[in-house]
Amino acid sequence: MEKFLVLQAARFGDLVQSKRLVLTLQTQGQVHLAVDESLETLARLLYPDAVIHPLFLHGHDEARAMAANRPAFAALRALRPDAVYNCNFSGLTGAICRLFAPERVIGYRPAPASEGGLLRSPWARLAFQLSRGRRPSPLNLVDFWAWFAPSPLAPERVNPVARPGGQGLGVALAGREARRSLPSPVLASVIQTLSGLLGGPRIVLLGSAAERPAAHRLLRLLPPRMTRQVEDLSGKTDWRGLADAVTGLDALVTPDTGVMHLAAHLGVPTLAFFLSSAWCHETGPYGLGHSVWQACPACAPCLESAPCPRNVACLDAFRDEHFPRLLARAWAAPDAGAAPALPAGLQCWQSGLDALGATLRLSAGEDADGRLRRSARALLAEWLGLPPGAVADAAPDTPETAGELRRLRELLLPDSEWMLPQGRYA
Amino acid sequence: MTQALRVLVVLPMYGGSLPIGRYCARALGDMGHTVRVFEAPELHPAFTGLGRLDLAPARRAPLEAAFLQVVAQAIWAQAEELGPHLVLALAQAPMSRNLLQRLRRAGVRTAMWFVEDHRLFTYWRTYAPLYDLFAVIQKEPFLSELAAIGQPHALYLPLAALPEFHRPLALSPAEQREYGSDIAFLGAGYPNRRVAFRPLAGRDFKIWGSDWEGEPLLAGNIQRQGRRISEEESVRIYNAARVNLNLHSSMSAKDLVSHGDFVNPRTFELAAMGAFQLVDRRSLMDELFGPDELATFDTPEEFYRKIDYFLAHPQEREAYARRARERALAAHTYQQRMTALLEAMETRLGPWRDDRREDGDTPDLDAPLREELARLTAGLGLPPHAAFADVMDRLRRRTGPLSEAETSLLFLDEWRKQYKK
Repeated sequence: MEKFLVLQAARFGDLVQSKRLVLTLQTQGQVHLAVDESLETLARLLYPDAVIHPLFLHGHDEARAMAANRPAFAALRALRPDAVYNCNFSGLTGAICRLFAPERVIGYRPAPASEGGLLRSPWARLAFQLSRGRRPSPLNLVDFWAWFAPSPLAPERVNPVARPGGQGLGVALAGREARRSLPSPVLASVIQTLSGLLGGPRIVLLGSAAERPAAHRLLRLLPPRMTRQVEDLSGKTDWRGLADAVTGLDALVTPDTGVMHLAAHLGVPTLAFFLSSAWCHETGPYGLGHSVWQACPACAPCLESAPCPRNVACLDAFRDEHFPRLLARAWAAPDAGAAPALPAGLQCWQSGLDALGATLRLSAGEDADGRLRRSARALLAEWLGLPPGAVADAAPDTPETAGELRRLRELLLPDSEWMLPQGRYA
Repeated sequence: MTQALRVLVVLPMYGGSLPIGRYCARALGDMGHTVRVFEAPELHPAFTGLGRLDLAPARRAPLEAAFLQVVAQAIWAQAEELGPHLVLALAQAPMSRNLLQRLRRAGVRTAMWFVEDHRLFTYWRTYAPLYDLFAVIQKEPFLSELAAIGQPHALYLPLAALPEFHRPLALSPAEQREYGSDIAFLGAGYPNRRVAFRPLAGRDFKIWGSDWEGEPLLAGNIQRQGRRISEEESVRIYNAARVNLNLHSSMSAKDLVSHGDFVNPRTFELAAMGAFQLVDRRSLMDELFGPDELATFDTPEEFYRKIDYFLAHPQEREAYARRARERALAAHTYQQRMTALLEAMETRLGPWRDDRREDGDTPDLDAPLREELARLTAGLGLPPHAAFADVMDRLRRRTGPLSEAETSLLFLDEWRKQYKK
C-alpha cells in the first residue's frame, strides 16, 4: 500500500480545508498527516483513518519545539513515504521536506540554494498567479490543495449536503481578525432576524476563551426573551466539545472561520458573512447548502495586515437599516429569481459544485468580476485537462469570453511555462 | 588570520585562468572562509550554441551582449544571496562594467587576479580601475601603468600551486606506461614551442595538450590527437615523465626562448609535485626559486644540451625536484597567495566589514544537537567557528535527503527567522 505524507502547518480552518486532498489520497493508500500539536485532537476527529503526526510548528518555545520535533522528524523519515504533499509556502515545512528526496515532494519544494526559499509546482504557480488579482479568483482553497493530487475525489464526496439538524442556531463569535467579523450590534440584529425566521430556536454561541467578552457584549444586545434561549459555549469547549456543539445545528452564522469549515464538514448549513480580507471565492464554505453574504466595495478584498483607511466601509451594507429585511427575504427565497435587489457593494451567494470543485452562484447583487472569474475557471479546467463542459462556471463560447480567455492565457501562462521543461518546479 | 569572510569567486567561462580560480576557491575554503564559486563554465555551452546559429555578425553581436548581461545578472544574484565581503574574479571572468559599479555601490569589495600577460590581454585598461584591487603576475612597467590609469591598489601576486592537488603520485605500471616518457610537454602549441620541439621529434617525447594541428613532424609525438587534458590527468603526466619541458609560450617563432618576466603556473605546479622540470629563465624567477631549485636554460642550445644531461643524471634531477618542492610548499601555495591578497586588501582599503548576520549567532542547543552541529560543520568543510547562518547556507545547498538531525537544524533556522524577528 502506498504511503502519503501531508504536511499542513497552518491553522484550524486550513486543516479542515485539506479534506479533499486527504480523502483523495486515502483512496490510494495510507495517509500520514503532520499538523501543529495544538490541532492533533481535531485532526484525529476530522481524519480518523489518517495517522496523525503532531509537530511543534507555532509558538516561541524554541527548546521545547526542538526537543519534541527531532524524534518526530525521525519518525517521518522512517516512513519513507511515496509522496509528500507540502501544503504550505512556509520555510518551516520546507525544512521538514528536506527529510525526503526532492522529487517526492509535491506542491512546494525546498530550493537547494543557500538562501533557501521554495519552488512551486506548475499548478501552485498558476494558482498563485490567479490569486494575485483576488476579485476574479475562481478557486476555492480546498480545491487548490486537492489538485495537488491527480484526479482528486469528486467534490460531492467531500462534505455532506448541508441540512438543518434541529439543534438550533449556532453563532461563531469572531474570526481570527476582528475586522473580518460582524460587530456585536450587527450580529445581534442578524441573530434576531434569523431567530424570528426559525421560530425562536436554541442559540449556541461558539468561540474560544478570547471571545468571551464578545459573547457578553452580544448577550447584552439581545432581548431577554432570546437570551433565555442562548447557550454560551465560548471558551468552554475542547475540539471534541466544539464538534459536538456544531453537529446537528439548523444553521451556523459565521464570519470566515475554522468553525464555518467544521460546520460544512459536518453537514451543517452555514450562513457566512464575508468582509474585509475574506473573499468567499477563495475560502467560502465547501459543499452544497451554504449561503454567503459578501461585502464587495471596490477596495475588497483587502490585506489583513494593513490598516483600513476607510473605516471598514465594507460594514456599511450590513449596518444598513434595510439589511435585516434583505436577509429575511434572501433566507426565504435563496434562488436568484426571487432574491431582493441589493445595494451596491453587497452580494449574496449560494454554494455549488462542479467537476473542478466548489463554485458559488450569485443569488442577489451584482458581480462585476463574474465574466473574468468564469474565464479564469475555464482556463483552470482546460489546464487540468477536464472535458469541455465539465465546469459549470466555464465561460460560454462567445467572442468576448474567447478574447478574455486568450488574454488570461497570456497573462497566467507566460512563455517560460511552456518553453521550459514542463512539470518543473520554479 | 583575517576574520572569516564570505567570498564569491567568479570563474571565467573557459581558459587557463579557470583552474586557477578553482584552486583559489579551494584555498580560501581551506583557510576557513565561506566560499561560493560562480560556475561560468556552466553557461559557456549557451554561448557557443549562439555561435552555431549561423547568424550574420551584425545579428549575433546583440545576442552575445544580451547573453553577457544575463551572466552578469546571475553573478549579481549569487552575490545578493551570499552577501560577500569580497568578489574575487579571475582573468576573463564575465564581470561587466555595470556589475562592477553595482557591487561597488553595494559596498562589496572586488578584486581581479589578472593571471595573464598584460601585453597580450589589454582589456585591463578598461576594467582595472573598476576593481578595488588588481592583482597581477608582472611587475614594472605594468604596476606603474595601472597606477596611471587610476588603479592605485595593484598587487604583484605570482602564481602558485595547490599542494593537496599538485603532489607526488605513485603511479601503477599501467599508468607509467601510458603517461611516462623520457621527455614530456603539456601545453598548447604556441609558435615558439613548435619550432623548439621539432628537433626532439624522433625521441621518446610525448606532447600532451591542444592546438598542435598542422605540425606533421611532431605528429608521432602528439598524444590523443591533441585533445584537451584534464587537470587531474596532468598531474599523472607530470609525475610520469623523466624530464618535463616547461617552455613559456610566445607568439614569435623566431625567439624560441622569450625571456619574459612572469613565471607560469606550470613552474609552481611541477615544483609542488616534486616532478623534474627544465624551464626557460624568466626575469621574475630568481626571487621565486633559487638556482639549485630549478634547472633552467637561456638559449635553445642550452635547452637541448640540458635535456640530454639530465636524462643521463637521474640523481641530479631528483635533487632539483626535491628542493623545488620544498620551496613551493614553503612559499608558493594558493593559500599563501590568498592570504597575501586578503591582507593587502585589508591594509590598503581598511578593515573588512564586520557584519556577522543577525541570525548568525549559534543558538542554544541540547548536547546531542550541538555535537551534530559540530559534526555537520566539519563535514561541510567549514571551520569550527563558522557562523550558524553560514553552516545553514551550506546545508541548504546540499542535494538529496537530510538526516533528522540536519533537518532539525534547518528547521531551527527557519523557526528563528519566523519567530525571532
